[in-house]
Amino acid sequence: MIYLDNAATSGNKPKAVIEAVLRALTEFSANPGRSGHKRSLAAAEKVYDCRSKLCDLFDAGGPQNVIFTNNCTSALNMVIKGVLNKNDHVVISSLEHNSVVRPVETLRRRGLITYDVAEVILGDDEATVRSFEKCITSKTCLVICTHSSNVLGLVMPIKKIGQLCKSRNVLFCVDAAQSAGVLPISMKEMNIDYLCVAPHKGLYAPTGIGVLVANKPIAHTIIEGGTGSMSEIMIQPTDMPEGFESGTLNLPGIFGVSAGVSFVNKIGLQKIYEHELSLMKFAYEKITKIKGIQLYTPYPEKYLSAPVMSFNLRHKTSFDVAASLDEMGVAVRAGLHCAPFAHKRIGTLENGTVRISPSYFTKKEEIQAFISKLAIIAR
Amino acid sequence: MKGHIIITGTVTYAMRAREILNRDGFNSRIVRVKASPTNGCGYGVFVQRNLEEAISLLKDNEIKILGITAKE
Repeated sequence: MIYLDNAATSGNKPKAVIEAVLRALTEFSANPGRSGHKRSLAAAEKVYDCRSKLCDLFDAGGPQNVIFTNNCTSALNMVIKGVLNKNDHVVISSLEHNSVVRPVETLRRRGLITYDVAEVILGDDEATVRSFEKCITSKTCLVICTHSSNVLGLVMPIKKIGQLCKSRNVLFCVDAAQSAGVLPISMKEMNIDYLCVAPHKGLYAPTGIGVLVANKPIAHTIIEGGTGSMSEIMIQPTDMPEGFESGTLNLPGIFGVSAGVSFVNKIGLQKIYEHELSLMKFAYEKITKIKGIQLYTPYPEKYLSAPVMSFNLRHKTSFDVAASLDEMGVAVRAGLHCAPFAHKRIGTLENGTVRISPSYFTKKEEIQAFISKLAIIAR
Repeated sequence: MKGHIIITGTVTYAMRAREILNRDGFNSRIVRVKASPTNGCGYGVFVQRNLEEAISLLKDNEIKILGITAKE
C-alpha cells in the first residue's frame, strides 16, 4: 500500500520506535513514579528522559513543563478548560481543527466564555496578524492557533502572533499536531506558552499518547485522580507535571515518543522537512497536469507550506476519489478532516477534499504511482 | 553513608533536582522517603555535602523543597 495519510498518523514507524515500545512492555513494565522499587524508578527515569528530550526539541522551560496526555485533543482540552475562567475571551484562527473549535464552542454554549475567530488571509501573514490584533480585547485571556493547517498545509505566522500576544499580555497556545517533527518550534523564540503535540504523527510514536508543554501555569485540572503523590489528601495536587497526569501513564507510548524524538533528531528536522516538501512540490507539478483537478493551495514554498495537500476532481466526490484510490492501493483521507472551518474558508464544506500527506519514509516513486492512478480515475 | 535527603515531592522534581545539583558538581542520587502529606509522594535527592548550597541552588531553580531529613 502507498500510504499518504501521514497527517492522520504516520504509517511507517521507525524500527527503533517499535523496539522501544517492546522494551517498555518487557524490561520496564512497571508503574513509573508510584512504587519505590527499582523497576518503578527505572521506568520513571525513562519517562523523565523523554520529558527532557521534548523540552530540548521545543526549547521549553524545563522537563517538568512536559505533560503526557492521551492525545493532542486532550492536550488542547486541558489548556482550554484548564486555563480559562468565567467571562474570559478567546481568539482562535479560522483554520482551527475541531479539537479547538468544539471545546471553545462548548464553553461558549455553557455561558462561560466568549470567543472570536481571526480570519486567516491566505498568502498575507501581516494581514493575518492584523486580523488577530483586531480580535484581541481587554478581556482576551488566550489566543489559540494551529501551527499548520491539516487541510491546506498553510504554515501560520506563529512567531509574529506570539509577539503580538506577548505585547498584549495574552497567553498563546499553539496546536502543533501537524508541525512537530517537521517544522522547527522554539517556545522561547515564538513566545508560545502552551504547545500541544500529536507525537504519533511527525514524531513517529504510537497512537494513544499526546504531549502538552506548558510554560505557564494551568489553573484548573480537568481530570482528577491518583498522581502518586499526597495520597492522604482529597484535593488534587497541582504540581507540574504529575498533577495533570492522573492515572497510570502510557509507558509504551512514552517510550515510543522518546525513540521517535531520537529518530527525528538523528535525521534532522531540516532534512525531514526538505524531503517531504520536495515530494509535495513534485506532486503539485504532476497533479496540475491532470484534467479536472482542483487544488486549493499555491505551489508549496519553504517554511510557508507544510507537507499537506488538498484537492478535488471535478464531477466526483472526494469520498469516491478516495475509495477508488484505496481500491488501487493508495491510502488518502477524504472529507472535512475534522476541520470544517478550513473547508468553509475554501468553499468545500459540502464535498470536502482529498488530502495527501507524506512522511520521511515516503518515496518519490510512490508519489509518481499515486499520480498515475489518480490520472486513471480522472478519465 | 551520612548526608541529607532534600525532599522534593514528585519523582519528576526529584529527577530535576538531581539534574541541577549534579550539573553543579554535586553527586546526588534519587532516594525514596517515607510518604506523608508534607513529604509528597516520597521522593527526594540525597546529598552528602554542602547542604545549604544545594538548597540555595534548588530554590534558585524554582524546585519546591518539602522538607529535609538527615540520613545517618
